Amino acid sequence: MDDIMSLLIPSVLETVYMVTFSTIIALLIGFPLGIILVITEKGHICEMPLLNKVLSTIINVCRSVPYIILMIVLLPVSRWIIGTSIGTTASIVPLSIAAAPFVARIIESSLKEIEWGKIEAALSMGASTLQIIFKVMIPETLPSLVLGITITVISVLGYSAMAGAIGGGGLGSLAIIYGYQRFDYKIMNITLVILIIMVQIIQSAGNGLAKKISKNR
Amino acid sequence: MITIKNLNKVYITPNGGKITALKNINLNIEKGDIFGIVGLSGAGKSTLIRCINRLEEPTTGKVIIDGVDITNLNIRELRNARKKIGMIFQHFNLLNSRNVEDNVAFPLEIVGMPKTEIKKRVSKLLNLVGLEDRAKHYPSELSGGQKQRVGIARALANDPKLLLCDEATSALDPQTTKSILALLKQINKTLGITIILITHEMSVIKEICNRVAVIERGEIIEQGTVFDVFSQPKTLTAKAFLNRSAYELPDDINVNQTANRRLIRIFFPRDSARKPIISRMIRMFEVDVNILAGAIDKIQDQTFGTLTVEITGSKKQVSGAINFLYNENLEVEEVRKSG
Ligand SMILES: Nc1ncnc2c1ncn2[C@@H]1O[C@H](COP(=O)(O)OP(=O)(O)O)[C@@H](O)[C@H]1O
Ligand SMILES: [Mg+2]
Repeated sequence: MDDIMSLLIPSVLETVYMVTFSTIIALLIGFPLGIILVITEKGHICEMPLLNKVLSTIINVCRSVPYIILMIVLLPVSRWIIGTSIGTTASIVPLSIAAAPFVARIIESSLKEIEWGKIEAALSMGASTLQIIFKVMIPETLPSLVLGITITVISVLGYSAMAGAIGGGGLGSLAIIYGYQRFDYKIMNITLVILIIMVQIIQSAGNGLAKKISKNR
Repeated sequence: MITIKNLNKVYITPNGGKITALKNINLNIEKGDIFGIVGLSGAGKSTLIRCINRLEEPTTGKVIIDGVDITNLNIRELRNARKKIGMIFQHFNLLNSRNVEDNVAFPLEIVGMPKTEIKKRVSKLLNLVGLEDRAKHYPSELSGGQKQRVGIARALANDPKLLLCDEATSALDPQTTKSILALLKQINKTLGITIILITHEMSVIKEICNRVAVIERGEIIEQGTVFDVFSQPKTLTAKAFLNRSAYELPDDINVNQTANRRLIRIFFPRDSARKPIISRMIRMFEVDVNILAGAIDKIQDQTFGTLTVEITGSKKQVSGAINFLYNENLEVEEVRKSG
C-alpha cells in the first residue's frame, strides 16, 4: 500500500501542477483572443472583418491538429523554452498551446450570449470599447465564462494524461508505464479512478461557482 | 434645438439587397418639446431615433443638436456627445450583474466621476424615480415598470439635455405605462429635458406629446402639434392612428368595390360627428348602409368620428349618396383592404 501511495501522490501533484499552469497560460493567451474574435466581428464594437477572418482561420487550423501530433511538433519549442522536452514542466508548453485556441472559442461563445441591447445601452452612454468589454460583456456573461473555463480545465486534464505518452509525467505517465508497459492493471485502474474523481471535483466546483455568481441575477 | 436634415438610411442586407428604411427625413425639434414619432411596426421609427445618437449610422443627411452636427463627429467626440444624450429602451437593457444603484452608477463610472460623488448622485436619481427602497435589488427582482424607472434614472445620470425613448412603454401594461409617462412628463417639466419618443401607440402620443410626426414606410407624412395633426389628419395613416378600431375590419369582409356596392371610410371632423348625416343620406338616396366599424374619439375636448360602411343600391343611388357625403365636407375614402 505504501508503495502505491508513494507512486500516486507525486503523480497527482505533477498532474495538478501541469493542469494548473497550462490552464493559466492557455487562458492568458486564449481569453484575449476570444474577446478579439467577438468584438472584431461585423457589426460589433470594434469591427475588423479581415483580422477576424485571419484569426478565426488560424484557430481552426490549430484546433484541427490532433493533440498527440501537436505535442510532438512542439517538442523543440519546449526544449527551447524550458531547456528539456521531457518531464512535467516541459509538457506545459504543448498543453498551453493546444488549449489556447480551444479557450478562445469557449470564451467567444460565452461572450456572445450577451443581449446586444445591453451593449447598445452602454454605447448610447458613450462607453469606450474597453469599458464595454470589462464593465458589460465580461460581468454579464460571467456564469457562462466560469462554466467554459471549467470545461477547459477538464480538457487540459485529459490532454495532460496524453502527455504521459511522450514522457510528460503525472498520472498519465503512471498509467502508461504500469498499465501498458508492465501490464500492472491495478495501478492503471487506480489512476483512472483518481482522474474520474478529479473531473468530478472540477466540474462541481465550476458549477457551484457559476451558480453562486448567478444567484441574484 | 435639434434639426434633422435630409436624413436617409439604406440598409444593405447580407445578400446585397437594399432596404430604404428612411427617406429624406426633415424634422425640427424645439427645446422643451416632448416630440412623438408614431408609425406602424416597420415604418422606420427605431432607425430614425437611433440615427440621432448614431447607434445607427445615417447613410446621408445631417443631425444637428445645439448647433453641432452629430454626423460629423469622430468616434471620440461622438462618445462625449452621447454622454449628454440619454436613452431608454423597450426592453430596458439593464445590466443583470449589477443591482439597481450600480446600474444607475454605470454611466457615472464611464465619465470617471469619483466614488463618493457617484453615491450622492445615485441616491438623488433613485429618489427622483421613486426607487430609493430598491437600491440593493437586482433587475430580476423588479417589475417592468420598476425596471424602466431604473432605465430612466440611468439615462438621466449625466444630466442630459435630450432624452431618447425607443418604445419605452411598449412592454408595459396600461397602468404602468401611465405612471412611466407621468414620470417622463415630470422630468420634462422640472428638469427642462427635451424628449423624443417613438411609439406605435397613439395613446402615448396623446398622453404626453406636444408635437408629433407620423412616419410611414420611412417617410414623414405629417407633422405638427398633436392637436393639429389629429384633429385634421391629412393622411390615412394619421387617421388610422387617431382611431384604430374604426379601421380594423374583420378578415372575411369582401372589399371588392362594384358600382352597386361601395365600401368607404368616412371621417367626421370636429363637431360634425354629432350630426345625423348618415340617416339623412339613407333617406335621401334610399341606399342600404351597413356599418362595419366605427368609433368616436376625443382630443382635448373635441369630438371626432370615423366610420367604415358598406353602401349598396343602384349605381345612381350609391354614387349620389357618396357625393352627398363629399358635399357635407366629410372626408371619404374607398376601403381597399382591411387594416
Ligand atoms: N439592421 C437592419 N438591417 C436591415 N434592415 C433593417 C435593419 N434594421 C431595420 N431594418 C428594416 O428597416 C425598416 C424599419 O425598421 P425599424 O426602424 O426597426 O421600424 P420600427 O421601429 O418603426 O418598427 C424595416 O423594414 C426593417 O426590416
Ligand atoms: Mg422599433
